[in-house]
Amino acid sequence: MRLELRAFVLLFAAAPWATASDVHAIKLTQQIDTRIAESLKAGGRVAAARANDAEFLRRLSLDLVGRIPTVAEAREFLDDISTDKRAKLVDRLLASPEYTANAARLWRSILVPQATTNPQTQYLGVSVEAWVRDRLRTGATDDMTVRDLLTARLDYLDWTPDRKANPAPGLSPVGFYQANDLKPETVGSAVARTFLGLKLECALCHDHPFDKWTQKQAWETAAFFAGVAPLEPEIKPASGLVNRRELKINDTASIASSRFLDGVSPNWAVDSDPRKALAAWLVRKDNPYFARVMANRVWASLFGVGLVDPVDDWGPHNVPSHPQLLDDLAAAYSASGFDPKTLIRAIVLSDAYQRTSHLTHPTQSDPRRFARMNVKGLSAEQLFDSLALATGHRDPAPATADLAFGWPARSPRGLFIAKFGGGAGRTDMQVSILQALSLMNGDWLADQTNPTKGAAVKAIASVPFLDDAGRVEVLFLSTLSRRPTKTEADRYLPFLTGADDKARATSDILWVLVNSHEFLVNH
Amino acid sequence: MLTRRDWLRLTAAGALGASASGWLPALASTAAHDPKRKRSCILLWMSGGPSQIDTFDPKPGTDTGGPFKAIDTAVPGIRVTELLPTVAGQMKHLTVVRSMATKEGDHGRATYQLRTGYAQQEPLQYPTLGSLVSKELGDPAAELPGFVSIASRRGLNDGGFGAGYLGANYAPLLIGNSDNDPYVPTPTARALAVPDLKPGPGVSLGQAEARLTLLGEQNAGFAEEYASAAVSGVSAAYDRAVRLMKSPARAAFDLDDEPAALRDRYGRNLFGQGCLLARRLVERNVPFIEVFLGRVPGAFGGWDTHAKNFDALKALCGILDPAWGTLMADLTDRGLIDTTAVVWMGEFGRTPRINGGSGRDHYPTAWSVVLGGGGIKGGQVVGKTDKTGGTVEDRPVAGPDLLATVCAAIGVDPTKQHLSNIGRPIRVVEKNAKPIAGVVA
Repeated sequence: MRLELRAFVLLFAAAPWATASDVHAIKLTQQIDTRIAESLKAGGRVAAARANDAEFLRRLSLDLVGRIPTVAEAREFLDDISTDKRAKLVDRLLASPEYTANAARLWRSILVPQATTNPQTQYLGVSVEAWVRDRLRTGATDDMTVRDLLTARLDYLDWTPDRKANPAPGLSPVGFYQANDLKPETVGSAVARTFLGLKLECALCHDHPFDKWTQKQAWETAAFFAGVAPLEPEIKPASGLVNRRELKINDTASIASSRFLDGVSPNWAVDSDPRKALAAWLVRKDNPYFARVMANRVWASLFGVGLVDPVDDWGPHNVPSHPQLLDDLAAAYSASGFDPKTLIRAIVLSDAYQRTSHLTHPTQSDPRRFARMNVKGLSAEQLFDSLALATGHRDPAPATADLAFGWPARSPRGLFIAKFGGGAGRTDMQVSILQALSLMNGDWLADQTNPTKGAAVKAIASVPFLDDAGRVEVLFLSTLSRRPTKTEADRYLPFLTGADDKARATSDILWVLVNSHEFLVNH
Repeated sequence: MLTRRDWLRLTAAGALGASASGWLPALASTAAHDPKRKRSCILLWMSGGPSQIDTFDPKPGTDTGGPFKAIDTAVPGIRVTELLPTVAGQMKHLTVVRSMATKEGDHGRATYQLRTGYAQQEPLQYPTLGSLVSKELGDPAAELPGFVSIASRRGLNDGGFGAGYLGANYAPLLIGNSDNDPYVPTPTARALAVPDLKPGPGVSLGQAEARLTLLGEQNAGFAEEYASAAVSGVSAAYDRAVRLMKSPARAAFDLDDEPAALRDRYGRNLFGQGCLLARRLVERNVPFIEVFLGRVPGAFGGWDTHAKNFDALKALCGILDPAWGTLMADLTDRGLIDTTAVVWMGEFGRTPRINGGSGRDHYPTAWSVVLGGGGIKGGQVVGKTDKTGGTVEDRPVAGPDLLATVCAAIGVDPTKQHLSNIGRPIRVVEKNAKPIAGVVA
């Protein structure tokens, strides 16, 4: 019996197309293709052609593992003649540790958006990201991660002089609460916005004119988190305080009691801890928001724009571009037990994701119709990690002490991200003048492209088995993940061959390619 | 008649041909007398929240007044602290608002609110005032960016310093904000220089030229073929960066052009030289420049004077007063005062109560800001606090009202709406904000 099971696992685990989740994925891919095709037809739009292998490889790598492919990966993929190589690539990337690390980064940008722009809260992002990474490594599905986040222990240890709580040692998502000032109403709004797509912030002060959410409901949601605010002057919340279920409304004498947004009160006999009660309600399969909001975030991370966009502001004022498709995605996500990989696998193998981003017809320009792939900006991390890969830079491991104290690591990567931070790969991400100057003339990239210091330049210029055409090819593969066109080869080959100083000419080409528009976007 | 662009081209050509000394006065007078000259704004930002009682709302002889005397100013009846004699001499150009009444006493959130006019609401990032002004008054074809931020300290809150939903085209060009000790007693040329304008280490000028030529060829057609916000953002940033690298306008950042005596009057420190740089940028039609004054020797918390407030105020005002006073005089001398608004503010004021450590704590309830220069009716005081400075007794002003006033003074319509990156139109300043009555000229 045991032997049979092992044989079964061996046979089928090695054949990913036969796993249960892939059956769902294939069906979902077909649904996506049908829905998008219908909508394109109805709008009289001309779909762009299928992206070539290089475009697909670079896009998928940036989206799933947060960096461009290596030269070896590019060569292997481009030269692979098998017909299912894209599906195999998807499976390989989804199974890699880099996927988990990248997914944790995405979670961090969603859970602690403050940490992206505010150096004061940057350390909270570091700790929350580490916690998520650990959860994902153990195989947590999204509902589990959300449940653990919402019911996290709040054992604040002590206070900083400006009365902010210091986190307990060890991995913990408490940074999420700290980033929201340990205020019940701020935490409540963040939870509603992040997982339900509902903006309650405005309703905290007054009933929102365009929304059906009332001030009372906003405070009733906040009341679930009444226990997250340690009562001063106590250092730790005394036992029992964590189970606070009521909250004073702002500066008034009124009291709000924990109540779900659908108007139902929790059954305190089942769940005495209000946060547990809220978490259970939130991830219930019949919650009309959670699966849709989360599935829409996955879509948005891959297309640069959500079916509902902005992704955290749902309501009659912001309706989905493809409502049925959204329902399909949510249903499949829910049926998979909130496993985002099922969604990702289905979406990246759809026609829409595999289209070129090259604009070939005027009807393709609306980013919300998906007639071509959207060009996305690179996040600071995607940009740095890709530059590091292209130039052969290896960042020193950040000192643990740096992370513990929460300061951005003083490594080149930390400094770069501090300088380029502020976006998370949206389609409208832009770079500033200073960022452009830093890429063109800054010390770090100058060193990485320097003929005597840059690891990649030195190797490409000196290895004996490459001729000049081979050098140009490697430079293209290592930066743009494709081989040069004939025009490009005709431009760079004489430049390299005619150069007195080959290493310097190699460094010039590398500099040009990493500063090119093509390198600086995910297209 | 010359178009604005023609004029720019002419001054650029002049800059190439003429010596600096011959060119500068000509530039100043052209700038001042161009009938189509747009207005500029210089924001003097006091990081940490300056004490109003020890600056512009003195309460001598009261429990809360502290040790400093009040002195007369150039405008009879208006008195300020003795720490600001040079600024006092410029009072006919200044309006003191003594009735700021806000609600936020946290550095980060208050900074965000005062600098953007909105409460922080993730994930929508509101643009800071400088980005809004740069969008409204900036010339996309100009060689200098429309918003320059000098010596900014972002430790307290990064939000509220950037272009937010307006995008990186309106982000500030940051100068003198080194991560290392930001206070440079005698700023070298590098302290206020644009970083990375010259080719990186090991790259010759000729090589840089060749690279840029190749880069142009490599990029040819890409922005059209892959037309999108992402590509046009990259393209615009590189275009402006290369323009700045090659432009004679970068000479604006070379303070060695200025007479040593004038540089001395501004003060040989980062803030003083920053104010001088601000004037040079105004001359070159940069619509918004901000200069930060925070941490200085003797006041390492900047204006956040929870302890030893009075010692810190002496140190801070010792730098503030000559720089700001000289700036007003210099703008006047060059005929720029009527088109350049100057705003002095922090994120809140400080308690009238003096704490046990001779300090004053955060106080948003009643505090002061100062508006001056172009578009502002000078020589007056707006609003009033009670005898000890604890409450506003007359004409309370909210943060968005202040921004609406600045907008009106420099000719930006505060009711104009921008489409945010999340597809929702947002007003420059929130709907209920009104310019302070009687302040805009």
